[in-house]
Amino acid sequence: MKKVIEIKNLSYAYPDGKTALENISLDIYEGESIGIVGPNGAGKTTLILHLNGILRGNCQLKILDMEMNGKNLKNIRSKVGLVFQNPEDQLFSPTVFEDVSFGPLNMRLPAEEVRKRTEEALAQVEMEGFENKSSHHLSEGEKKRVSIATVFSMKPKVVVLDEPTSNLDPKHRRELIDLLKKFKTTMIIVSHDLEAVLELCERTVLVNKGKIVKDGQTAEIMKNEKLMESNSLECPLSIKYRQNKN
Amino acid sequence: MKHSFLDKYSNLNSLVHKLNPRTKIISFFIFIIFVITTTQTDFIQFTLYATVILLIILLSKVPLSYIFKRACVIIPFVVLVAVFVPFMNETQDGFRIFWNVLIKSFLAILATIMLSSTTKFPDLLHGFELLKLPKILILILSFMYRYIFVLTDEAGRMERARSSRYFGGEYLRQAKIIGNIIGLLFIRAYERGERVYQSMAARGFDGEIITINKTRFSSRDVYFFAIFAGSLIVIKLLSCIVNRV
Repeated sequence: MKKVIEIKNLSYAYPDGKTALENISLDIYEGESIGIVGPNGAGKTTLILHLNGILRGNCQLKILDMEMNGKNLKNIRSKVGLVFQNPEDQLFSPTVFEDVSFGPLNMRLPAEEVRKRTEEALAQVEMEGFENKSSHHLSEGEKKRVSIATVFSMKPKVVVLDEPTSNLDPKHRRELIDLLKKFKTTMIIVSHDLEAVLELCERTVLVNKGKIVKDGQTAEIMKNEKLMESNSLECPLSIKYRQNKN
Repeated sequence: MKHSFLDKYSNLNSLVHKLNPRTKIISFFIFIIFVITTTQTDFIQFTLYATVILLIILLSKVPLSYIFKRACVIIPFVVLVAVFVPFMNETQDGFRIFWNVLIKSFLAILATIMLSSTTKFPDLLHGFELLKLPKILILILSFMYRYIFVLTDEAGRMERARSSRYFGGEYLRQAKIIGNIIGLLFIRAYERGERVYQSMAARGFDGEIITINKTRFSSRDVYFFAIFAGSLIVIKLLSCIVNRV
């Protein structure tokens, strides 16, 4: 299977000297859905910010066979879509249309293509007709969906989502999870919502104190009570329930 | 929290609302220029300009109470001028200066309110952009529009947290704390700016602002502009003639 992301020995320290990531090596294959879990401050967000070059650590990092450097940066950013946790940070334009078309416009695509992609992206997240709305008039769930559309309009090969289900009421959380299930692109989800990761990702990477503690099948990792609890997590209720039944 | 504020009546369906933003912006500037260039004693000209703008207000269906409430924003400036009137050499001059500032700012603010309340803010920005206002200014204004409510909410939350632990008195200490809150608001806004930049960079922003906006003119715009500019010109010409005579 084709490798879309290759990370070898990634280390990164914050400007104040504190180590954020230590020797991270990770390979991600095409079509995978991967969950990245871990306690607060583990370095999960820091890790994903390396995937589109916002942060640059020293290591060998290859995205879709392109080295991470200044020359490839623009190309990499159009192929790796990052959806930030807070929609207020992701949606910064006066109207939904301008936010969703921001990516394709920066890719210097012609106007007609931009309009087409914007329409398609909004349709994919089931937000057609919202083009002229202002972002502050939308509900949290709608904002999250438009945030995803802003990245989808670039037609990325990899979609990275930082805490997609946070701050959503159960109904909108369910709608978002069902929506994410439909997507076929390679997906990386950073989340505290372990049930959602269990539902959406076959593979999980457990990160703690800047290191990868375990990288394997989601079900296997989440069943392991000792592993979860020693990393400030706990087994999802659905697994505990199944175990109790047995 | 729900805010409406800037855009409150921009969803109405009147003749003025349907005009192209560029038509309204250009008409606005012409009106301002004509009003400013009127001599302060030409009461008839002022009355005629006031009639023109009042007609537009009526056509726009925006509630009069809303308009006059917004117009009160000029009061601090007029008061400021009034305070300096006694320092003029002759009281006659002083009153004339006061009247000059009062009537011109009043007419100008009515025109401004018309422009801002009949046009959706994003459309207004598009209009300015097509009229060649520098893109960086447009970007700054669009961020202001986008984030003013976010900041208001943030400030509201901090204030709620403060007043929930406030039991009266100690005004000096409270003033210091409110000062801290304002400083913190600035820091949070600054950090948000950093995150928004990351968001923009993640979607390929490289410094160049690219937009695709084209609004079209219709016959309505042509008729409106012809009648509006025409009446202003006629008023100005007639006044010049009358004053010569």
